[in-house]
Amino acid sequence: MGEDERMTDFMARIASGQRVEANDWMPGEYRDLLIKQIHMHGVSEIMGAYPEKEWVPKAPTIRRKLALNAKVQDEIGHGQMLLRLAEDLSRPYGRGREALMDDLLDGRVKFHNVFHLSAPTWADAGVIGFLVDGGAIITQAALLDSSYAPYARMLKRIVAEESFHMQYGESVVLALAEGRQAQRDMLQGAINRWWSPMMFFFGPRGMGKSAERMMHYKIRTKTNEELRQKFINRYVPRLQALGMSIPDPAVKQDPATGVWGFTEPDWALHTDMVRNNCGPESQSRLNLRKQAHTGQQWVREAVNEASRLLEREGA
Amino acid sequence: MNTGQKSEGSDWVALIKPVADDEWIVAHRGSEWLGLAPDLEEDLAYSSINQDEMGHAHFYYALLAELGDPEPERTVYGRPPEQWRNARILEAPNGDWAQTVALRYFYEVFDDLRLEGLSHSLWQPLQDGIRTIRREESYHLQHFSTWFDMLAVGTPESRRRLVNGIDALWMNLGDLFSWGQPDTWLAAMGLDNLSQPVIKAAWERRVGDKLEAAGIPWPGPVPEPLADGRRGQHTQDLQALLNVMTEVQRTDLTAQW
Repeated sequence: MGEDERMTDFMARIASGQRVEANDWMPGEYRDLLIKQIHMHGVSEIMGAYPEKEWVPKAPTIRRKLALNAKVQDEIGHGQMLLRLAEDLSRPYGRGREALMDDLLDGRVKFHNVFHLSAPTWADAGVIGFLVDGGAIITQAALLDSSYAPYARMLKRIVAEESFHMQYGESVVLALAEGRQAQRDMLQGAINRWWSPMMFFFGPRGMGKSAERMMHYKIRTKTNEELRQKFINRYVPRLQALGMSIPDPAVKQDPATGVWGFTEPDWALHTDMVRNNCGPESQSRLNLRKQAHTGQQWVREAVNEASRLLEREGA
Repeated sequence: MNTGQKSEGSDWVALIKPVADDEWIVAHRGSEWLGLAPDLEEDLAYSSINQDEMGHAHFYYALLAELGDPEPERTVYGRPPEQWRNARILEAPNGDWAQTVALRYFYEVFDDLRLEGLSHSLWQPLQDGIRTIRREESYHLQHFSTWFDMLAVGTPESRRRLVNGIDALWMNLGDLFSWGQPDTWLAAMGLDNLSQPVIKAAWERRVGDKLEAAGIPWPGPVPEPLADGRRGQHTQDLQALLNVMTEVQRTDLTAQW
């Protein structure tokens, strides 16, 4: 089969709703888009561990501490699974885990805007679970129909775990909402900090070129605006039910169309933060990752050496 | 409550509290490694181990509550340093990965011997819990024993760091084996195997074999402790740890969190 025929065949399969497996032929552009998406998703999960990790030693009850520990572990686990996928896809380029992690530290792969921000109170640690994981469920559930089967399968598990995380966040948030005035104030403060970044989280109204190409290949099937609307529609009543206010007067639903209004987030600010790692906590968290990865390369080298030695002994 | 013949509730508290506090503090320090382990796979494994330890601590604290101690939440969040009974080495801030591996290997060997001793206790709820806990702890020991071997044979750097880690820990391991009081009460409970000289000798034998197999020189017997965490004599590190741990809770001690 010639290149053109293979391409036509590939697009026909996708159009008819068939899924692509790791060993199937795929266009180079399709592979590159997948690597870009899954790599970014994977490192975002890993960087997403840090804002909450800070709160594990400070968690105010035994149960919260156990739950938060498990949640942060899950996020690292998602990162690990997703990087395994990205490693598979990157095999033709001869790039493995070390290279994919180096990309993060060298600024060649970006992570979600929300993980560049500070989480200054215990309420922030709860709101991250409630709003950020809640938002992630919406974007990830939309990828369950992805044309790339291994990604869709993995997302099924990830979304199931994220919904536990959201319930954990909801439980923390609920305790604060039902608590003392100072706890309620702390919660409102955190909501005020995270609302606008969450509007950015779903991306610009008009989608970029690679997002459009991903729609073309059915790697993703929903627009940014559809996902953002879903989020607002889900969270406005939830936050109001907690007696909390939405920190944006423009959040109103058009009774005729059902479309929610919202104030545009500072697109330039957040884009700059993601692109240049210049958010309030971007560098400190990248430094933690660097400490783990680059700072402990000696451990991984030792393990590789020891394994080689044991293999020789076994042979 | 029937805790077996001859033994007073306070004897059981003296027996269980150091175990509970060791597990809690080791898990707290362990959880500080979240996101910082040498690779993602170890991050996951180590986190599971620390969650296990927290679960064990919670089990022991619940037993202590049955013996008349406050509820686990208050025991964990409401005590000043002098009321903690953990070994001092466990409250120290984390060293590098090699020192962490050495500490956890040393601790897991000790914990294994201690659990073996405790499994002969005559209090059924404790026995039942220990049976479950030992199933998990055998993996923890295996995990850090494997790490110990890998760092010992890996590269000159990993070996050097491991030896340095052992040196840094060795002088301060003494109160691990202490019960904070003379061992006579253990005999009354039929738990002679847990007495300081017995458990220390068994530990030194096992760790000695490990070091010998790895070709690492024996640093000599573990010196007697200068201060005893089992008597509530702690370093400033424990105060610092507790300050962090209770930071949120202290903002409102009676609130629900």
